[in-house]
This record gives sequence, C-alpha cells and structure tokens, in this order.
Amino acid sequence: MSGLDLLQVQQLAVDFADAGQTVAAVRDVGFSLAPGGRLALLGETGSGKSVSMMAVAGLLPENARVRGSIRWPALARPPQLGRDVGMVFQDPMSSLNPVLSIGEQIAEVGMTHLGHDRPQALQHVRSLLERVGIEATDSRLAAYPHQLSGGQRQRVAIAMAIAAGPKLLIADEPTTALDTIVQAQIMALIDTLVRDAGMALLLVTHDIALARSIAQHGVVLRHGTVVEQASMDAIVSRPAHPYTQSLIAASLDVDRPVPARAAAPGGPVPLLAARGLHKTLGQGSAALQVLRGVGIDLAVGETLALVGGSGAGKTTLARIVMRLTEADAGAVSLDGVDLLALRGEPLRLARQRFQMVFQDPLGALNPRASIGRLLADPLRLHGFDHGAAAVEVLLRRVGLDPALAQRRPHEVSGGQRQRVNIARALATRPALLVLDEPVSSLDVSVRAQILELLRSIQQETGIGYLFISHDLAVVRTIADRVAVMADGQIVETGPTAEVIANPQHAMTKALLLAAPRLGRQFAFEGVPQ
Amino acid sequence: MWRRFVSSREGMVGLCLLLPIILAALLAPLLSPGDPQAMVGPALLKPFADAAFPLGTDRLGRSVLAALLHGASASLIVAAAAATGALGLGTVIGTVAGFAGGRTDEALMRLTEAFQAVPGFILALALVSVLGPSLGSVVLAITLSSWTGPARVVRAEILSLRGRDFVDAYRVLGMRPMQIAFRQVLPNALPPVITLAAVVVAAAILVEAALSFLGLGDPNRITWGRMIAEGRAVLRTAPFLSAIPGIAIIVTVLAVNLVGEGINEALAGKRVAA
Amino acid sequence: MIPVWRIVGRRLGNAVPVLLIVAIGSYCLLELAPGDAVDAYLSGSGGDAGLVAQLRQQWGLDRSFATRLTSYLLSLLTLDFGWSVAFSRPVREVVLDRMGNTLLLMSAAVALSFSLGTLLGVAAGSRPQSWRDRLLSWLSLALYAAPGFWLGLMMIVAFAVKLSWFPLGGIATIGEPRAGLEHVLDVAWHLVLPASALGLVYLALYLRLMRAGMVEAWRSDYVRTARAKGLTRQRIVWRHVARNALLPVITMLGLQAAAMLGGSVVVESVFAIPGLGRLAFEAVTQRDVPLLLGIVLAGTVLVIVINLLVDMAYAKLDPRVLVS
Repeated sequence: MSGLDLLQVQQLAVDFADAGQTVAAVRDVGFSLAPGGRLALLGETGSGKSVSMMAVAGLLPENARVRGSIRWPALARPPQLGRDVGMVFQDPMSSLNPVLSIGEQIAEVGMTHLGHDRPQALQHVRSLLERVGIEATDSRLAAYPHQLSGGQRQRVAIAMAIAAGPKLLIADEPTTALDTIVQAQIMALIDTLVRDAGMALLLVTHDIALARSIAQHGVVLRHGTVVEQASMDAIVSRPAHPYTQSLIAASLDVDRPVPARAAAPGGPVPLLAARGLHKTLGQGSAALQVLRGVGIDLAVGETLALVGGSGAGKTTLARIVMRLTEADAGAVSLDGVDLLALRGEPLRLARQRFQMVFQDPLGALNPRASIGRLLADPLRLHGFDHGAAAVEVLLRRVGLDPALAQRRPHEVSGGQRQRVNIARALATRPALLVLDEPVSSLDVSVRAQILELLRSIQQETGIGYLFISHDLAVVRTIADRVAVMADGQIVETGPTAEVIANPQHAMTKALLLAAPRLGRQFAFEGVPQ
Repeated sequence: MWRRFVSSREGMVGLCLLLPIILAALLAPLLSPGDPQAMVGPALLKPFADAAFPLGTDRLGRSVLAALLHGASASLIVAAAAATGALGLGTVIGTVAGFAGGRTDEALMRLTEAFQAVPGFILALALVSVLGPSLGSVVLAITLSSWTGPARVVRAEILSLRGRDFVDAYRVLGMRPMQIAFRQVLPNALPPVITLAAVVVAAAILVEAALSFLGLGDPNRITWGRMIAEGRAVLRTAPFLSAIPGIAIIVTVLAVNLVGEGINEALAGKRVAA
Repeated sequence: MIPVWRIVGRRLGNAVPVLLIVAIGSYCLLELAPGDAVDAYLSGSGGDAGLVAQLRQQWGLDRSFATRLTSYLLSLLTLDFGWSVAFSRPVREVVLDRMGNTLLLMSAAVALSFSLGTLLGVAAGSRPQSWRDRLLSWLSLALYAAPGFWLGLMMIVAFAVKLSWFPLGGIATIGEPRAGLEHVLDVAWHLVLPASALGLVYLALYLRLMRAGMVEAWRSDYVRTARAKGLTRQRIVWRHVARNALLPVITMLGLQAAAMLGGSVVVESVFAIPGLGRLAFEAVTQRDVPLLLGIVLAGTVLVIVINLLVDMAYAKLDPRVLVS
C-alpha cells in the first residue's frame, strides 16, 4: 500500500553532555514506519534502543544533543505527545503517580487533548478501562496505583496511552517487569488494541521472541549503531550479521531442541528431600497461606526446576530450605540429616554443604566490600585457605579476570556480578546449590553464558541444583526434572522433556503457552485473561 | 571521595568560610592577647572609626573584635562536643534498636519519642537551670536534646539494610550475627549519619547562642550569644553591637551547612549505586 | 483501607508511655536541683529552722522520693499540676493563661512559614538551576543560619525603631481595651514581627525541602509519563510534581513543632510577649520547680497533639498510608 510513511528517521545521532565530557549514545540510526506498521527496536543494555526511542518521542533530557532528521510525513502538523503518540513504559509501579487515583490519571489525557469536561472525561475513562480489560466500577476508578496488581497497572498505563486515539503507540519493554503469564496477557492486549485501531507500533525490547510475535520488521542495535535491519521473519530464520546470529542462538525458545543431558548420577539417599511444608505469612485477616503441604525430592547431581507464577511460593520454599525462614510444619532432610532440627554451631557448620545464589545480583553483594573480600569470607568462615591465591582460583573457575578482586560490586557489569555470586556460593564446595531466578535480570547473551557456566560446573563437580524460575524456556535448557507450583502446592512434577511435551495441569499449560518462542507470530489466542 | 567533595561548589565555599573561623578561634589568644573582657578603650566607639578597634567597642569599652575572636572558640568547642555526644549516643541507641527489634526496639522507640516530644530548648533550659550554667552543662543539655535525630536515621538505615539480600547471603554463608551487624551492616548505615553531623553541629551553635543570650551560658566566658544580649541594652543607639556577633553566627552556621552539603554530595556518588 | 481513627487511636496509645516517661524523667531531673520549693519561697526573706521544717511538712516535702513521685503522678491524673511558687497560683491556671498567646504566635509563624515557604519552594523547584532558583537557594541558606532572637532584634531596629511600622513588643496595645475586630487587628499588628522572627528560619527550611522534593520528582518515572501524555506544564508542576513534593514537607511540619515551641522561648523574651515560652524562662530564673515541670508537660502534650493533627493531614494526602 503506497502512501506517506508515518515516521521517518534518518541519520539520527544523539550525544550526552556529562560533566564536561561528551558521550555518544547513538550514531547513524535510520528506520521508517508506515501507518499501522509494527517495528521493533532490538538490542541489549547499552545498545541505544531506548535513547533512539526517546529521541523520536522528544523526551530526551536537557543535556542531550540530537542530530539527524526525524520526520512525520503522514501528519499534517508536528506530532503532539499524548495525542498523536502514546507511550507505555517498563515499570508500571513507578510510571504512575502514587497520589492520584487511576481515574484521574486517565481522565487527564481526555481533558487535555480532547477538550473533555469532567463528566465526559470520566465516561471516556470507563470505556477505556473496559477496552483494556479492567472492570469500570466506581471503586476501580477511585483506586490508587498501589492497590492494583502489576498487570492491572500496566493496563492502566496502556489505557492512558491510547486515550486520545494516537496514530502511534510506543512501548518500551512493556512486559519486562511482569510475571510470564501476565506478560502474555499484556502483549495480547496490545496486539488487539493496535490492530483494532489501526495504530502503528514501535516496540523497544531485548526479547527477540517477543518482538517476533508481534512486530513485522526489526532493527537490531548494538553499541548505538544499526547492525541489521529486516523483516522479523528474516531476522529470526536467516540472520545476516554475526551479532544477530549470536543473539538468536542465545535466545530462549521453548520449542528449540536442546542437547541431550547426561543422566544425573543419583545415589541411595536423595540429596534433598522435603515433606509436608506449611507456611503462613501475615496475621489475622491478612494471613496468606504461602505453602500448603509442599514436598520435593532432589537426587545427587540432579537439577530440579521449581516453576510457577509469582506468589506461588517458590521463594518461600527456597528460604525454608536455606534456613532463612522457619516453616510452620514439615520436614527437610539434606543427605538424610534432618535440616530443620539443626541450630547454632551445628547449623553453621552444616551450611558448608548447601548454598544459595540470589535473584538480584547487585543486592546480594555488600556494596562496601571488594570482590576479593566477598569471596574470601566463605573460605575463612569454613576453615579453608582464604589468601589471594585461593580467591584467584574461585574467580577463574567462573570465568572472571582475577584483577577484578580489587573492584567493588557496582563497578562491574550485571553478568560479572552474577558470576561473583556463583563463585561465592561455590567457595565452600557445597553439594547443593539453590538458585533463585539467577538469570531473570540479565541480558540475553549473558543469560546463555551463565547457564552454560552452571552446566559445566555441574558436569565437573556433580553438584545438585534447585533452580527456581518462572520461565520454562530457561528451565528446559538446564533442568532434569521440573516441579510446577501454583497456590502453595506442587501441582505437577516429572522429567522436563515429558512435562513440556505433555502438560497435565492447567498451570503448566498456561506457563507453556506464555513461554517465549521464536517460531510463533500473533498467536496469543488461548492465553487465559 | 575527597575529589567529589572538592568538586562540590557548596562544600568548597563552606570549607573556605569555615577554616578561617576555626583558625581564628584557635589563634584568638595570639591575635588578640589579653582578657577580652578588659576595658581597653572609650565606650561605644563605632566600627571602622578607629584603627585600634576595627569593630568598635561596647558599653564598657571592651573591644568587639577581641570578644568576637574569643567568643568563636566557645561556640565551636560547645558545638563540636555536643555534636559528638549527640551523634555517639544516637548511633548506639539507633543501632541497638535496629538490630534487636521486638520489645527492645519498642521500648527504645518510646524513649526516643519522649525525648523528641519535649521541646528541645525547654529541655535544655531545664537542664541548665538544674546543673547550673557552665560549658559542661550546656554541652550536656544540647546533647540530650539532639540525639534523637541521629538515632532515628541510624535505625531507619539499619532496618532497610537488614532486609537486603546481602545480609541474607551472609547468614547463608554461616557468618555470626554479631559480625554481620557490626562489620558488614553498620559501615553501610553510617554515611547518612555523617551528613547529619553537619546539621547537628549547626543546630548546636544556634542553641548555645540562644542559651547564652538568655544569660544561661558560662558566666566566665564571653560568647556571641552573650554579646548580642549585652548589645540589647543599647539597641537603639548602637545596634552594631548586637548585629556583628549575629552576622558571625550566620556566617559560621552557613559555613557548616555548606560543608554538610559538600559531604552529602561526596557520599551520594558512592551510595547511588548501592 | 484502615480508617483514620485507627491511626489516631494507635498514636494516642503510644502517647501514654511517652508522657509517663517525660513526667517521671523531668521529676527526677528537677529533683537534682539544689534546694527545694521551700528554699525558693524563703530565699528573699529567710526563715528560722522551725519555720522551714514546718513548711516542709506542710507541703509534704519531708516524705521519701518514691512517695513524692507517686503522689505527683497521681495528682497529674486529676490534672493537678501543683502550686506555682513564683505566682502563688495553681500551675494549671498559670500555664493555661499563657498558652493562648503562644498558640497564637506559633500558628501565625507556621502559617507564614509553611505557605510562603512551600510557594517559594515551588517557584524555585519548577525551574531548577534557573537564576530564580539559585537566588532563592542562597537566600534560604542564609536565613536558615540566622538565630531567631537575633532576627527579632534586627527587625525591631529596622521596622519598629527606625521605620516605626510595627510596635516594639507586647501582644496588644496597653491602655484602652478594644473589642471585636479592632482587638483582633491590634493583636495581629503586634504579631507580625515576632511571628516573622520565629517563622523565617522554618520558611527557609520548608523552601529547601519543597525545592529538593520537586527536583527529585522531576526525575521520577511518573513525571516522564505525565510528559508523555502531553499534559500542560502547569498541570505537571502542580498536580504531579508539587503534589508529591509536598509530602515530606508535611512530615517535617510535625517534627518541627517541638523545635518551634523551643524557639518561642527566646522570641517571646525579645518581644515581651506573655506566652508559655517566656513563662519557662521566668520559671528558671525564679527557681519555680513545679511551674517548670508543668511547662515541660504542657509543651510535650502540645507537641503530641500537633504531631497527631499533622499525621492525619498526611494520611489524607498520601493514599498509601491507609492501606494495611
């Protein structure tokens, strides 16, 4: 269909002036978007995709210098934010004003751009809420952001973005902060809304599978420049540039065949056995039963994945196993020894055998300690040699340069930090490692490297992993068996390949449906709303 | 970190103002030898009128400049001592409350609220009147009325740090609670307290001035507050006698506050990433 | 949502142990003072040992410390604060007489400092780093460093002596008693200088807090969203930025109540206003222990009440507070 493009970007370059220095963020970026077209800006952290998007929107901070041309041929006049262009950001909690009701915040758009008075605006709000799947009751309109769930908040953000009927919807990592199942629901919603209104979509994401499922064309960015630009079809099945190829290879795809795994060595006694765990958090009317009679088994050298949506109880189970939280009832044994009965010094000594890698790599490291000291601590506490040489061994084992021992946690990258966390956990040569969403917050290519590292360590040492994740694609590449949790109970368990091929429980099926796939496009039917 | 402080404009201005004042206080006996309370010239001489008395003289013919220089040391000594006491006491109580939790925390919080609810200056008044006016009682009075700020800040920091993953990580490693508390958590809790130090010092200077203005300071020392009080009797005819020490107070407190902002900026860079 | 009165109830519940600690603590403290009420009473005229012993027994001062403390606490429950030696009247009467003036002064000072301070803070914070912002920042830094009593004296020199715009002191013009509106205006005229002297320091504080809050809010994600929605600048400044920046200022309002009450001691002395603050000073100079105790307690109660009111206002403004 010929006609004017909605958006034409040519030779875009953005620099930032920071304390007297100039940092180049984006160089020579160009792309175009037809009315109703869908384009994805793809890249990892620091690729310049967000900066390019903010330049298009005109929302760059004051110290930014923009060169090149950004034109809107199909529009009669310069685009106005809110009216011609609607935006949805990554974190819905911080993107909403905490002191105004959601009704107010959505109504503002109509009152500013459509000339609504209050009653008209509120009526408009009601119809918008229905379109985005939130019941338009009075109490909902008067609710505040913190009273809604993450998914609901993002729906409100979407309602605000489409309120004035824009020609273009810009979505910046709209689902990264959300649970897997909710992610799928939100993407389905965006797909429907954009299609129904004939809006163009500019999606900024690091997730190729996500982009493939909804966008027609993609622009791959790296270090501020365009590396490849083609239809999403071509990018996924025939990537031309080596960087794109590595991204595709590193991407998670639940359908992609995985190399066969050597069977776990096993042993007479399970490494970890939990039975009948109960835990209730909170008191009185606000009490929540987080665990309701949960039991798992982990054999020596095996990887058991614990999957489920947020709130299913996975982290609580992990904390009970790690003796960070006390269970209300139940038993846990490690190597046949009753773990929950240990206290004081015997517990301290036993900790040498089981360690944990936490979810947020930065939060798990003492900001004031050097990496060397952080690694020496476990060695010292359990009577191992804790000199510089020992620390160097640990660093090399996880693929890090020993020179990093002098640095502090905030001075290294996210991937490096997670390696430090792993190194620290492995320092005492434990038999069991509990990993709580260890790769969720990492970039795509780094994710694959960390998973590979974990695999190779398991090959070498026969360590057992209890691997918590909400993402089946990750689980598929690393777990021997998987246990699916929902509502505080284990609802399905079995060898990974089998569970994925023949899911029995509704939750398993929902997780599978919501998992990222490179081969799928516009196939969001069947996702429970 | 020092470099960041130097790059802070506020911090450097404050330091440039504060250092001469501290020097003047320390070197007062050299710069202006003799008893500042001695009568050395004609009464009520205006400032800049006579080179021998650059800032004029008061009702009794005492040199304003001499009194100003000697008064500086009284203000700064009291402020430094009181601030140290308040910060020390506050940190200890805040740390214990933050780590102990439960009933101990509750009890200490009630105590903190009690000290906070009593109007600080009235508490200081009561203390000074009970113990008799002296440098020591003024220091004690200010300490007891200012420790609650640091205590709250330390407690809040420790409570927020306790919930962080890295504390759990140390528990998982098998580190003993005492070690975790003092060697790992406390150093992370201190930066905001250090920033608060400047505020506490500034407030101490003002409280000391108010106490001596009311005649409750050490009767043997000349302080800026007392100078203002004595100038009050001749306010109509010689307002400069009250004005000058007031300006000195403003400049000193301003300097301390600016240094505090500089410290805040110097530490902020480090904490942003944490 | 937790109803507001549950918060009120909890705060009042906390207030009881606090008041108890204050009462016991200050009783013990003032016990340390050399001499007692009898000495103060007879300090002018002197008296023989027999009279002293008789008075001691009459006033119950010969009983043990524990007994005296207990009877004091019990009498507090009946709102009997003891007998003022200096004024020869019940402490409660003396305190209540003077409290009104202090409340007037503080209200005026708070109204002035809060309203002007936050408005100027918005002015500064709506365009950070502009010349307007820099000017206000330096001005507030200087004001913040000034002692309230000195500001009062300088104002007297400038506005009362040199320009004769305002009276030198007192709460009302002595002489013919006025009534109704005239009286109100007369009192207001007398309050302008002292309220300014007391309030300017806090004005500077609120200005800086509001400005800092606004700078912080400008950087927030929800302001980015507001800009992405294409809202007018005015709407963003007032409904998004200022509205959020106001919250820490309100918190500070409560925290400063105690400090302002203390500040009123010197300001009332400088302007000769017959209020609670000046009464405290008189109690000190006249060694009137029961009166001083009564003032400490009255001041504490005042601070608790003010904090409670501020908390309720805050709960209204920040919807996150009332959710369990």
